Amino acid sequence: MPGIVLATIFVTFPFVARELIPLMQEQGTEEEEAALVLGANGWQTFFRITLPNIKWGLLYGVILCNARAMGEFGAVSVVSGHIRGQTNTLPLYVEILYNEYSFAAAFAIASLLALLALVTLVAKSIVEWKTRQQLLADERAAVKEAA
Amino acid sequence: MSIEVHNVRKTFGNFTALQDVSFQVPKGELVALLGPSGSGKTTLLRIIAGLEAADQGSVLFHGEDATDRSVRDRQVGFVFQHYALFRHMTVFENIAFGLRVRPRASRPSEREIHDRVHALLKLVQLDWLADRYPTQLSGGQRQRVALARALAVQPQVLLLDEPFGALDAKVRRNCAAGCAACMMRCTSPVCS
Repeated sequence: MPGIVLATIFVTFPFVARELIPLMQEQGTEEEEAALVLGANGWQTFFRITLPNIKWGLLYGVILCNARAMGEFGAVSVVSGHIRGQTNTLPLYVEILYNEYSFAAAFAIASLLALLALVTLVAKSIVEWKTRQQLLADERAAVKEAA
Repeated sequence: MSIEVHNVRKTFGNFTALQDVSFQVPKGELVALLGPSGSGKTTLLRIIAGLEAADQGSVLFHGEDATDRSVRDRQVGFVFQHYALFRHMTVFENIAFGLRVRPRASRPSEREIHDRVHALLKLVQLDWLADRYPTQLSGGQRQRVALARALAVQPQVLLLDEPFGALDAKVRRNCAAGCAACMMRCTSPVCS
């Protein structure tokens, strides 16, 4: 079980990082510095300033991450012991059932995965829309500042 | 509070931003730092505020060495060039931030925070904008919010980094007059 978690973290966390790094680079450190000057400590600065500013980007990363984790096969297959009910994931279960010629069950599980993928897609679109709204608002502010 | 800067030197890689800068600002004085762009005004202010560490030299507040004091303990107010307002907070919350992050023992009550923020908003003539977000404000309004936010923690020293840089000449004059009035309440402002 810890192996599965580790393997999944290894293949999915880059998605979150890649989502967040450009966002944070663009936002700069000015707001954090302002918070420090006003007397906030490191934790307060992180939870009250940094986190709210990246929340949509972070959520977007988590959703992408989750999508990847749900469907992850290779890395998990290598480290997992394939014990039913203990160290099994949905894609691995599809494989086991398929190899046991229980096609109906295998397809049922596969459909479940597909359904989860659709849910993820909807969630992703909503968050993407939210992020874009925020970006547009930021841009409008920048234009106003320049004018 | 008086500020003394002794032989401050700061380099960024090969570039020397400040070389042996020394000056004194007596208590209650309003001082402006002038110089062409790139001459190190911002760097100097950031060193005084504690956001940047000097490679050499020292900064004294009130005769006491503050070179190694952290930003939080210096009791300075800083108005950034681009204001750096917290974009996810309303104007009210922006100004209240400095009071809300205090340790519980010295944190004013909700009622006091409310009163103080509104008093400051009145001072900068923006009390009708308390519930707006920074993106919904004009440049001059943002500048005044940034000033009010810096004054909320009752700093001993107020540092303004090109406070009127992003404003046009007409607004600038209004703001400068307003600022001068506000600053009389504060002990030692330095502008760049």
